[in-house]
Amino acid sequence: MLVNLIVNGQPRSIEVAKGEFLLDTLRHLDYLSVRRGCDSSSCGVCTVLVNGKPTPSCSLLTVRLDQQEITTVEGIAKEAEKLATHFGHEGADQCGYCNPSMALTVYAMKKELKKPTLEQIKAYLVGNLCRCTGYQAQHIAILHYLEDQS
Amino acid sequence: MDVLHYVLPNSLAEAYQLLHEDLNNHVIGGGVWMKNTLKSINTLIELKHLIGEKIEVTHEVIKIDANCPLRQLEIHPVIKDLYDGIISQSIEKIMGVSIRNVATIGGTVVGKYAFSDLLAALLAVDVTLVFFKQGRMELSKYLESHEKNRDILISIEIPIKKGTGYFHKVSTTHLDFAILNLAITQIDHQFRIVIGARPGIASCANQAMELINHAKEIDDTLINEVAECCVKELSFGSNFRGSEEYRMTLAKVYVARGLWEVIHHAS
Repeated sequence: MLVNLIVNGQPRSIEVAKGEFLLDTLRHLDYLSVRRGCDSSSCGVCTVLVNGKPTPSCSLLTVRLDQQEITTVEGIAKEAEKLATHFGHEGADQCGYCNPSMALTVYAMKKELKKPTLEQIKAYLVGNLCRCTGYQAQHIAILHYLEDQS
Repeated sequence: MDVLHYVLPNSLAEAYQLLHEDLNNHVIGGGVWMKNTLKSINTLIELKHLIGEKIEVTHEVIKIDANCPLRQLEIHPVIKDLYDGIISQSIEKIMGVSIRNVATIGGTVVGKYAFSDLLAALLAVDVTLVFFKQGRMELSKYLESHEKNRDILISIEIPIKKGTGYFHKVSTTHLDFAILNLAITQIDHQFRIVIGARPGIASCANQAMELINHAKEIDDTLINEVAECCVKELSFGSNFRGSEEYRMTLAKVYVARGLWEVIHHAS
């Protein structure tokens, strides 16, 4: 079935099986920043933005997304770089596998919540698992990113 | 997962007919859980163009389209305040925001998931379901029915009344299902006590509710009797999340705590 997606502002037409999930479609289209983890909507590493909202791409059928706007981390490059700088300063990076999905979720949170508290940040990030860091450095980095007006 | 056909019907009547053509034809809600439960689907029936995701508030009722994502319900200002916000509370600890952006209220209700936190809260506020063929039905009646649902859920109606509420989920982590969940309300001076994930599906403790609703005076002795009654009348069981005994102990404590909380909030 032919599906027309808008990925990072670019129209992409692709023939997909009716049971294909967005994660597979995006990886077929070479958006390799979209990662596969648990493949059952629990770990968060496959998160992309669908019409601006964080969404688990492993559990969303591509056929349902005709003409919808999909954003991967490449689509928010400037903001992701800014967040990465704060992650670097806090030593919040290790293997990096969860970084693209984390950046997208933090970006969506910044748009949705005004001046979130640490508790609100933690609540928003539930389901974005990081097996390396223990989260504390990430939370500090995210707070700095949210204050960053540059 | 194999899907042979993906169809956007022109009307609900056409969708209903399609649904009844084959037991392996399914209506898709949010679709989050579908991958874990269905291996192959003949026809997947899409209704997003026929059933919206609006939340409409009138003086007496909040009408929610079946395709409304859980996150929209969770953050809706009226729902956040209604009955001490128990509906929002029951949603905010369901996995992460991304899942709640996709999972829908309709999918949750039709799925009759035994682990559901939201079903416990909805049952405690006595919502009404609106189906395409069967029309209006109380959620309690729908959950008690053992028949497999082959109707199309259009909307859910939450009554707006004066009342207080309590919700509590016991779970090991945010991402885990509940070991037990409880929702208690006092609406129009009537208590409703719901316990879910026992691990059976959310149910009202009807005898316990009768006991407290007919009591002349509410004191510690009565509250403990009501909590004891809940444990006797509802069935509890064991699974890898918790034992029957543990669940019964939790239920007694949280029923008593919840009842006092709704009473104090009402006064």
